[in-house]
Amino acid sequence: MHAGYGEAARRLEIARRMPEKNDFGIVFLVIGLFLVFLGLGMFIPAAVDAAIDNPDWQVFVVCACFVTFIGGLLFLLNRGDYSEISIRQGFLITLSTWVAIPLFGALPFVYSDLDLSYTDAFFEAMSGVTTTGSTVITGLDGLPPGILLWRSLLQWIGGGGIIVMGVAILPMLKVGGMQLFKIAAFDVSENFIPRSVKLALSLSFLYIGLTMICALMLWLAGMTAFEAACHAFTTLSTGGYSTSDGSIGHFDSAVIDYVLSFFMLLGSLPFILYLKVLKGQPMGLLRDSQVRWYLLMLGVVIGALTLWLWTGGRFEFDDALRYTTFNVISVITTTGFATMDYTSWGMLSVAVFFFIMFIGGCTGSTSGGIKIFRFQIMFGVLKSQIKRLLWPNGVSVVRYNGRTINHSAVESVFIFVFLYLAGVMLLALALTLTGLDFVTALSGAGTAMSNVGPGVGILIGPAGNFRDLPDMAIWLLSFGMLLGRLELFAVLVLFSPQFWRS
Amino acid sequence: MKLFDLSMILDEDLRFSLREIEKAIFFIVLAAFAVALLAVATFEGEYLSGYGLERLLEFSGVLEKGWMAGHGALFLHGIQGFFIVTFFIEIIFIASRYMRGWKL
Repeated sequence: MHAGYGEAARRLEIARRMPEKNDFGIVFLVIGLFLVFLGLGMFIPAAVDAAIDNPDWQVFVVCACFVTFIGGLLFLLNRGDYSEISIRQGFLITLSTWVAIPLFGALPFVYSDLDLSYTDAFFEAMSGVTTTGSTVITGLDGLPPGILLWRSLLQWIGGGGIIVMGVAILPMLKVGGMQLFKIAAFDVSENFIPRSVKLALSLSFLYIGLTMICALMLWLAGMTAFEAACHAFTTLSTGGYSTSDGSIGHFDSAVIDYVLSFFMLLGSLPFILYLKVLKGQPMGLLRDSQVRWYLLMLGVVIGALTLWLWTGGRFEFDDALRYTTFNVISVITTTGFATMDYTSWGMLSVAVFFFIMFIGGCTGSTSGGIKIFRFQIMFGVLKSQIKRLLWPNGVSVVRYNGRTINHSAVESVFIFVFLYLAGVMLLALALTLTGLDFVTALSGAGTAMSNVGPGVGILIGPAGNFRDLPDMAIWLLSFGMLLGRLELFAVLVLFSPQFWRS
Repeated sequence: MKLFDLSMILDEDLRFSLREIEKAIFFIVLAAFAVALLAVATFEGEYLSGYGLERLLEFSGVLEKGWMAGHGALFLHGIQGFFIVTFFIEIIFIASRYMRGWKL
């Protein structure tokens, strides 16, 4: 009798320690769902290739069928009565989805005429989905349209995914800083789920609409309809894949540069604030302190670099303004388009571009990087510390957007920035061990973690390519991109034993 | 201070709903197709209307015969410009209607 109770208790304890079947079942189910749509998405480049009689359409059709089949299988095999998903499962789903999409999205790159190794193909797909924009492919100008479109679509899907995730999922996981945007439409304290779906839908609608308008304006500015569509996909998503090896420099058009600059900027602002503008608050964007800081900083950097290039006699004023506006916006929004090799402008520009790649855009946008709001909060803390030194008995609080920020939010910002910089250093160190020089390793780590695209240096600079990097470096950079895209915590949390405890 | 104190996050009673995730993905894909369709319909509509107007002006003598042959690019540019404006208004209109009653 006693032994029976002991056995039952032991079994119960084992069952308690084992991850619930549902823990993984639901993860596979959601991955399956995403893969089905990814597979269906592959039919779009297949149709484009078929329309011009390019044999690559067969590759896309086979890959599409395979991915849809695997996705469908995962979905159907794990179909069950899951009404709710826990926070723990939310983390698992978030990470596994962002790994599964490039894993399967890489297949067309492997089997097409590009003849890429799976390592390179995975890098290309991960760079796409995380909207980084680093590439291992050369000879883009001669590639079939299907492959070019697929690269662009991956970035577009990734950009859309990060906006939706940024407002619907990450705040619940306390990642990404969107919990600081306490507005009624996505207050997590009550009735969150139905509102978040509506919010996700309206943001997606806006994202799709803006992409189309961007494509139309690029078409009007002189791109072909296909080029305009591909670049619109990679501009709003702040991805940076182009249809040409010369990136946007290939078009050599001031109008195209300014149109792209405008839409890159739109992609790097909080999408949630566009809804406010649509709700009849046209100044809703500028009332946000993050947006004001961001625009001010952009103005200062662009103004200073323009003056430096102009007074240095390198360019005429209008050219200096055009090139700095485009390239600064491209790097700071973490898009990664290039019109020229800005590292050849001199050491000041190398230093400026290296540092601004870490800043990134606003939270709730498609941009990567540390994000402006974290700098604002750190600046607020600095101000508060100085006040405390001057008036030791005074009360000083840290404010953001007119609201007092609590201690845990401040703490999370500092932990994020510390982890971010530590991550860049560690990644750079690991890249150095693969045989890369220090500049390439450091800028490669920075560009991957910030999801920018080009780095600094001859090898991976704006005029370079990631193809010549060793395989180990390629995998490390892919991991860095994922870390940066998911704001570190969503990935690092899985390395904590506490996470896996029942 | 523990760097990874997850208890606050993991022990919270917040929950996602799978049904809502499925619904959201489905509707987002649907929205993409709907916006694409709207764009095509608007552009085709405006192109055909513009073409019809040009023919009418040709017929009434305001424009010389065969005007389109010499001004095709200009006509297309005009339609593109007009289309951007109308499409933008359509997007704003639909989004505003969808968000009616929201408190932001």
